[in-house]
Amino acid sequence: MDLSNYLLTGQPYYHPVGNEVALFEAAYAARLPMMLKGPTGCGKTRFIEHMAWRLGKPLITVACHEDMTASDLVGRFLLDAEGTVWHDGPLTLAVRHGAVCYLDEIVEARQDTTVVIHPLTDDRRILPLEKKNELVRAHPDFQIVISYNPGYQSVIKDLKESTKQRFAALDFSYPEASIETEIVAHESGIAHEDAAVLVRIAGRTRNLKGHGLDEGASTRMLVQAGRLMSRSIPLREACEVAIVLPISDDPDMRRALTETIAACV
Amino acid sequence: MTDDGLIDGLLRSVRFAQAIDRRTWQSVREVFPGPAFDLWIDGFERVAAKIGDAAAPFAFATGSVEVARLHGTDLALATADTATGIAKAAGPEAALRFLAVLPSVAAVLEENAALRIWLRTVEEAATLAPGAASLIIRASGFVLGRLSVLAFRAWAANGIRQSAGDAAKAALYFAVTDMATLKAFERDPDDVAFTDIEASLRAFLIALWKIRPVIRAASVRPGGRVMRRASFDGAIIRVPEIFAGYRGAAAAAHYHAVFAHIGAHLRYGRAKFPVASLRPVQLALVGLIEDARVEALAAEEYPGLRRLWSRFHVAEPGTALTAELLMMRLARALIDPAYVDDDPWISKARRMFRDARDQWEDPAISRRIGGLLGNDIGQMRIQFNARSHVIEPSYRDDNTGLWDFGDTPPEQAETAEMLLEAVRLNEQETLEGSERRERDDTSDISANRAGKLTALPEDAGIPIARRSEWDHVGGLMRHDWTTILEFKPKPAAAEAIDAILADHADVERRIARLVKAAKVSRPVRMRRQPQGDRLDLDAAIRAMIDHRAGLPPDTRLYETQEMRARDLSVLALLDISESTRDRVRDTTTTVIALERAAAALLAQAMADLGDPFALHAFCSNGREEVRYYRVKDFAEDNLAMVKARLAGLRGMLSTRLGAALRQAGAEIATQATHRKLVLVITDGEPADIDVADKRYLVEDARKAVQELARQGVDVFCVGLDGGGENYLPRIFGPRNYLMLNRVEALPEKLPMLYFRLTI
Repeated sequence: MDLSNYLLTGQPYYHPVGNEVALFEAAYAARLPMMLKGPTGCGKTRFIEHMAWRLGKPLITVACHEDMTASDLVGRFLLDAEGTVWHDGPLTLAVRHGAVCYLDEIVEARQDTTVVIHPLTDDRRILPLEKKNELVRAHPDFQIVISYNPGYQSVIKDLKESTKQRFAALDFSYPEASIETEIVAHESGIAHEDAAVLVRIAGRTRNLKGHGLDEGASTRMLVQAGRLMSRSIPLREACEVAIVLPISDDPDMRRALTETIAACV
Repeated sequence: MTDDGLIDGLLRSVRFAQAIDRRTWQSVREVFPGPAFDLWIDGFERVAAKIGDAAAPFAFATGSVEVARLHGTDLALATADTATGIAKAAGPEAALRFLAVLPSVAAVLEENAALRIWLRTVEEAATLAPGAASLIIRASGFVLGRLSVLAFRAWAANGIRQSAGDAAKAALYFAVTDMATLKAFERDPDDVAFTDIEASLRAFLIALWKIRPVIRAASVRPGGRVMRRASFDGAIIRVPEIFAGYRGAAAAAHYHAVFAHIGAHLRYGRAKFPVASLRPVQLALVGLIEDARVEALAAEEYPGLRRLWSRFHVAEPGTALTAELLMMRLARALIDPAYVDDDPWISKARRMFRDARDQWEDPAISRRIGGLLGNDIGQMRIQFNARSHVIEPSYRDDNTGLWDFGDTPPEQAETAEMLLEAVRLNEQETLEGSERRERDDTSDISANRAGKLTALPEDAGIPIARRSEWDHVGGLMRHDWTTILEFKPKPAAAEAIDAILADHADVERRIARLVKAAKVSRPVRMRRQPQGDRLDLDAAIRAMIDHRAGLPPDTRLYETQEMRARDLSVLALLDISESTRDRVRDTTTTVIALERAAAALLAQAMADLGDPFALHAFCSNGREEVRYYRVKDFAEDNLAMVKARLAGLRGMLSTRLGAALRQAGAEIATQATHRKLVLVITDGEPADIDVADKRYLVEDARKAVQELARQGVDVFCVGLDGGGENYLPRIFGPRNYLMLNRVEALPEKLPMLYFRLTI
């Protein structure tokens, strides 16, 4: 089957913050399963897109969710005019034809679902399809990458130790101010100075992590605020809409954020 | 019978009726029609009996008529309760005075709600400070003519706190006629008090500078003077409860300006300046330059702060040359670049400050420039009155935190004490620490406890945790304020429990049926679904047959599984305070016996159901002794032992609900289930021996419930007290409590309630 639909056409913008690109290339060369850790909106998904483009491999992304079952990953029998026919799931597709399979927010999936990736993540590199009585051997290009946000939501949603230990990990966090400024300016098309103010605001909100906020404003939020600004919305309003209102429902916290933003401009 | 006939009858029959003339009777009859009249008579008799003064019946009649005319019969009837309440708590004299002022207060207060608040306030005052109640009531008319009822309430509460039972002090305080003192308590609906935006302000400081100071709100300073400016010392910030003159959004902005300013001090300030031989005017000016310096640095980091502060600088150039006006102009000149002022002294100061720009990081420039400017003022022969000087603009603090006075002046004593307290609280981590604190406590209490401990060594508890407590008056969380002591429940013969259970055998059977129904919540296979994990083979075959037969096949061909697992743990928290020993009306059992039986039934049901379940109990004896009993822990499954321990529970001591709730929250937090439920069974309002303010523990418990909710723990309460409507909704929220009017029904209701809540 042709996976050319899954090939990235243009270069996804990614600004490296360390040597993560080289590390990932080495990991891919060894076909190591990779885990991308870090808070929401810090660029994990963008990074994997960028790497798939660099490596010239198709990328199959699965956004994991609570109701996801193993069949959603592996595949299932469907009916057509003549009888039942097997449809590969996204994971099987990647395994069979050699793509990078990216399971986004893997902790959201139920634990019994995540164990299906176990045989793919050790030296066997196989995927048993028990319903179809087939053993799929992974294509040489196949690699599995998961993203994982530690400390996110509840303790119940944590990866099993047996799953965790199969992966090598890259730790992402919000880039340092100068790089983040560049990213925000590039992605939203606003002036460098405006982007710097947004980044400063984000730094203040990140101070509040654990003191009323679960997470500070992410780079993604800043880019969204920046995009509003590039449509000539004033900075404070853009921040209100893209940062303050989404990030908290607590009126006290909102007021503190609004005042903080006012202080930064 | 005609009205006249009825009135004549009453005139004869009611014991105190003689005190009242016919006209009054007629008006009573007029304003309390129908059933209200019976209620009024009932109230009238209670008042007359309770107060026992010849003047009381007439005073009540005229007062209640007046209230009924202006505020309706409901409130008028409620005055009888207030009057008897006051008489009970503070004596007949206070109650008589209450009746006497009733008409005038009713006339002053226009809204029913306001009168209701006043009634509540005076009754509370009578309970809290019996000695002062009469004074407060007497002053009511005067004060309410000048202040809103909420301000009156604050004024009264403050007086009670300040006089602390000292009759002379109370007499002095409540004899007020001074508008300035009263004004400090005024609160408009538009006013923004510190407590309204405290959370926001704290977050603001953390966001800007990661500063987390101790913040105290106060309306009076330790010396007794009204607090007009914020103040900081070390990491403690004291701030006026309200800033007069700012309303609504402006007031909120003002508070943010206050905190941004103090934050700038904390961020850019260094060691304190020694006072040494500086003259007062120099102290003021060094402070002013230091204010400008930290603000300038902060504004470089956060340009928006300059805008925030500038709006409060309103000084304009003028001809009047007083030191205060010059300083206000100077303050503005240093922060507002657009401000034009040709005064040579101000221009010089501006130039010096600007020239020192490279050294702004160094506080020494404030000392240098301020000192020089002070000399100039001296040479200009301008008067400076240090006593009346108040720092302007009002968002700036009083700068006492900048100075090292050498020996602590008396006014600082309380601040130093608070600092000490803060430090001591910080080292509370170890058990050793808590023991030392206990020794530090007032000697009589610890002697008391020591006596008890030696008398009953086997009954000693083990301290397992310290919990915080919420002070609703100060609006602050007192960390590590209460000590939780774990006591071993003493097992007793379980026959008593079994006997009660036998009485409720039918209930037990019904519960068993419910358990059976509830247990069927295993994974359920859902057939013939439009979507699913697997093909439903039966449906698929039927569809194929239809297909071959040329019929339109049913597209619902899949089957799926749905998990309906019960993922819930429960902690039942029993109140075993002294009041649970009361007998239930018309029966021979006590409240605690019923609690025990209900708990036993629940434990039985839970054991069958398989939900993790714990059964804990609590009572308290002051904040250092919140007793916590583990009747059954989550892991335990020996039901006979649980029953024996239940049978051994004895009702004693008081109800410090908040502390127990926090402990229960910590206990259930260890459970890995999706939902967690704390089920409180209590028979009375939270109360403890060391708390006089009725609302204090209620507010604290409310806070505790909110904290638990934030941690994802649901709290539900079963109230056994007839008056529970007054406080249970406040604590647990309007939907999360259930009042049992028939306490005898508890064993039956509790397990049923559990099913209702969780299925």
